[in-house]
Amino acid sequence: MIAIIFCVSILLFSSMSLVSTTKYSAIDNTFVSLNYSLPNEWVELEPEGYSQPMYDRTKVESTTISHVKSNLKSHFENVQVGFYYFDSETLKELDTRYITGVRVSLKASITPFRKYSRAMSYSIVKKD
Amino acid sequence: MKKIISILALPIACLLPSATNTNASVITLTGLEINVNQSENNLRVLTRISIPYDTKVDCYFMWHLIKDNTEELIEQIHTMDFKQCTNEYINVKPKLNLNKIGTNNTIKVTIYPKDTGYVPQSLEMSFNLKGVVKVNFKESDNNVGVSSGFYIKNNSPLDPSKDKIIEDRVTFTNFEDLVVEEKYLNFDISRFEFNYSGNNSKSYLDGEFYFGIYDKYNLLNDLPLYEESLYRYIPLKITSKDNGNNSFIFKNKIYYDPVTHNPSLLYKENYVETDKLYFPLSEVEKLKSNKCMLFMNIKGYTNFSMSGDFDLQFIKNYFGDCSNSEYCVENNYDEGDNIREKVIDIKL
Repeated sequence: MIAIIFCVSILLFSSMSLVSTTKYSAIDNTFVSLNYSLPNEWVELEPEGYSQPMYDRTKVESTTISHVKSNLKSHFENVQVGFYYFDSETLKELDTRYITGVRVSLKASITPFRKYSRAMSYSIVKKD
Repeated sequence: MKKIISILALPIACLLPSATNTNASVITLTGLEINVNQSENNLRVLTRISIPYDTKVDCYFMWHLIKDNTEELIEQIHTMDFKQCTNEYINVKPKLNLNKIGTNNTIKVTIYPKDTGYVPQSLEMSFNLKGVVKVNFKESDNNVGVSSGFYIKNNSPLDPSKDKIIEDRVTFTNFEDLVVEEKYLNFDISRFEFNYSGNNSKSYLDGEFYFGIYDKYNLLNDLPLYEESLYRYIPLKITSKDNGNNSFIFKNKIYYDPVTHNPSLLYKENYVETDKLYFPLSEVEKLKSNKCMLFMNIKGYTNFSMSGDFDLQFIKNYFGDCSNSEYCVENNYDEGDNIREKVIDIKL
């Protein structure tokens, strides 16, 4: 009897571990692959008085949410994304629509005992 | 644009012959104008006469073309009778086949009133059939000028001082055959400046002006194509600069997509109005070197057209790889949790 319980426990633990690994890979890949789309979501608004490329926060949010939904809907029931906007030179928080820096975070529960939480800052900078 | 290029119009303002008797002053030739339509391969000549109201007179016109200064009458172009002329201007428009026109020409119109109390009067105009003058912008460092002109001979023996030389002259001050932009983004057409001088009585320089770009890869789809060529063109207009020179701005509104940088002459959703020409970001490599042209049809006192080619090159990306772009994105992983961020719960 003890042997049976032991074996079932092992099986349960292994399957939970496998699920946990799969979910972690999925959400981490999703987070990292934001790198390929988000940096290019800038806009040029020189005619409106901006002298350099800017991020449009509405576009940043819609792109991120769409990316997360399409990549994680088969792995999670819900996730959290966070946005923090700032000026890339002064690093000060900004609440304007167009900004040069954005920090995106992604959080989710992989198992009841394991959480995923990562954040990445994207700063548009001028190179001489 | 071809039609515009092909029409070389030479309007002449009023030149009145001196009267040799009192009656002669009541009938006056008040203008002579030549329009060349190369696409129809003909030349239309127009003159105007002015006769006071209620004056009834029969008259007819003789048109002569003298070519290449031989002073030889080669053709009587047109003769027509007029009856009951009024004080309205009368336009007479005979056609002349371009094949009969030489390089240097004189057109002469003479009015013969049938009433013997009137003296025949005539106007002469010399003109060159230049077509479009090709300008070499490479020589613009030397302030290359292009001029067009003709000589109006007033056929009045009493007042030869009314003979007149008419000329329009355009001098380029900073045109280049190679324009190199430091960054890949947009092109400001106002960089080209020129100086205009001539007998133009208008306070502004009139004409038709176009910027053209050779769209080999068909990437600028929202700009109009010039007929069946691969040139996209944008109408321009002249603006005066503080230094007294003229330069160009886009004649109509121009828009671009702030994300893709696709330019358009028509407004589209989310497009932004601009005064520069933007280039699509998706095809940076293909658009780094562009064959462009400027076309100018000056409508001064004379009319003449010119065009010049130049290469537009971008040597740096505007946005992209940090090693070869003016702007790029730097990213950093950030594990900090104490930032006051906007959190959105997403139900999947």
